Amino acid sequence: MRKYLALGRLVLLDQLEYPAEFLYFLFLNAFPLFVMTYLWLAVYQSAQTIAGFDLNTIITYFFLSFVVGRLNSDTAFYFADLIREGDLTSYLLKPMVFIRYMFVHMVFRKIITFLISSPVIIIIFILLRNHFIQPPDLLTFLLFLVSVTLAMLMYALAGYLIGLFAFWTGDISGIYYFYYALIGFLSGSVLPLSFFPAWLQQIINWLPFRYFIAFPINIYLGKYTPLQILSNLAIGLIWFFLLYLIYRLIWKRGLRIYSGYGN
Amino acid sequence: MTKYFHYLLIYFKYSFIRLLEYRFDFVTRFVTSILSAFLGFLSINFLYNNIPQIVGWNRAQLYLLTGTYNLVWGLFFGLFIHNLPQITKLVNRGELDLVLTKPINSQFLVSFRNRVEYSEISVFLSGLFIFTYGLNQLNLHLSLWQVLLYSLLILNSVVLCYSLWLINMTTAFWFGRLHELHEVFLSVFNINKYPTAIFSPVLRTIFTYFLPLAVLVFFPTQFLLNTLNPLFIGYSIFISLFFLFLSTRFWHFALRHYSSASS
Repeated sequence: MRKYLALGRLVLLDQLEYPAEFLYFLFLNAFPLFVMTYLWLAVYQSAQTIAGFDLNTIITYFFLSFVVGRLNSDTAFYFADLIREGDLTSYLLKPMVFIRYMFVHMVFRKIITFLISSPVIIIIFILLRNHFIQPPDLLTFLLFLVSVTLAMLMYALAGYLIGLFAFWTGDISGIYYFYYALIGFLSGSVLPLSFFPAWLQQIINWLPFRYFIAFPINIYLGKYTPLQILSNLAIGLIWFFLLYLIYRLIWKRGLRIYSGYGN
Repeated sequence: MTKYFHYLLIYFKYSFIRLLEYRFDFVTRFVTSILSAFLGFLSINFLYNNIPQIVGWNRAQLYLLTGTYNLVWGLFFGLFIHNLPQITKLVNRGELDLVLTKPINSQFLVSFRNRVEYSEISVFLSGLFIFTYGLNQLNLHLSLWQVLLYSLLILNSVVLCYSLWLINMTTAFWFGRLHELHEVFLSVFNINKYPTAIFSPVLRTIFTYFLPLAVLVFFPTQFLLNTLNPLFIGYSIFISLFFLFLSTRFWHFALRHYSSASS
């Protein structure tokens, strides 16, 4: 436990080095939210409810999508660089399980960056407060937090999986951008999934990507019964372990050909 | 003048040779761009499956806007993504010395000297496809002069994009530490995904006269739909030439503040 806390301290110092840079990025990330809000204000001039969303629900949806998006971290490139530049070797020698180290590092980093970004999130919240709706009850909110944690871990794990390609290809940017375009669409961050045609919603329900954005937020918005939440969470956990098993398999094969050059 | 055309030709040729060397990279970028454009196209369709119009724009009219967006993006992004963003690095590492000591215009050199990203042709082609599809849906037959004037407006948009992006990048002389400085303009360009009419009157005025983003995609599309006041055609050309002038002045102003970093 203590070694992980020491790791947390390192991450904290690392992140506090460039606060201005960080806030500038946050502004950039908030820009699409700004455009989206105006789009939906315009769309709802001529409609009350669209695909089960009224104006306030959809603005809350995109605001939360922005917030949850701050917790999802792009782990793929970080991971791929370790492999490609041979820095992975020094991590393999550390007295920690590598993937556990990566997860702990990611969680610390995300908590700290989230805290740094909270002023911006609060400002956006104040601007949108008239449109913001609350969760139905406390239990729903707690389940929302659980699902956000799952989203964060699963998103990172999927990133590591993509990063593993670096064992074979070195550069992963082609695969990564392809994947990134796809999950933006399939996770519900471009458009809530209930806008999609029924057949596509069926397919997406069988894929893990909706756990990144759409599932947590739909819990918050009260779109599921408690039983539905629990069964979906269970399926999400199964997905997580399935992805983890795939990761282990590829990781072991990758290590066999890893030569650690660059050091 | 002929000297500059000669150099342009060399840069284009070099970029092509490089493409042949990294074919896999080219193919993945090409495919990913088509996927992104296709998913964007799908999103619009899913949105319009649920609503008939947005601020008076129907589905087919939005196809024209999206098509135009991709045409402009494909051109300016393909031409400048490997050049203008490099300014940060040139300034930070003092490598700008190498540019300034060459007997050729420094602005020309930083704008073209690296290479062209040919894979962005896929974005241009996707745009052309969506655009033509929209024209068919609207049963719109363009006359020759409309095609010519529209093409002129698109080229005009590329000039304005270049100027705005150069102004954005020239701030590197003061904000040199910010990585990914070029993302500012790309992020702001997002506004053009939807009709500028979705914004409030104040923002619309800003996007027309002060930060003329509406000129880039919205006006050319309006021109095709015959809803653009003809005065704005002249205005579009005036404003982008004005910004081209402004960006050049700003570049020279910044150069005077440049103190080499290396020694």
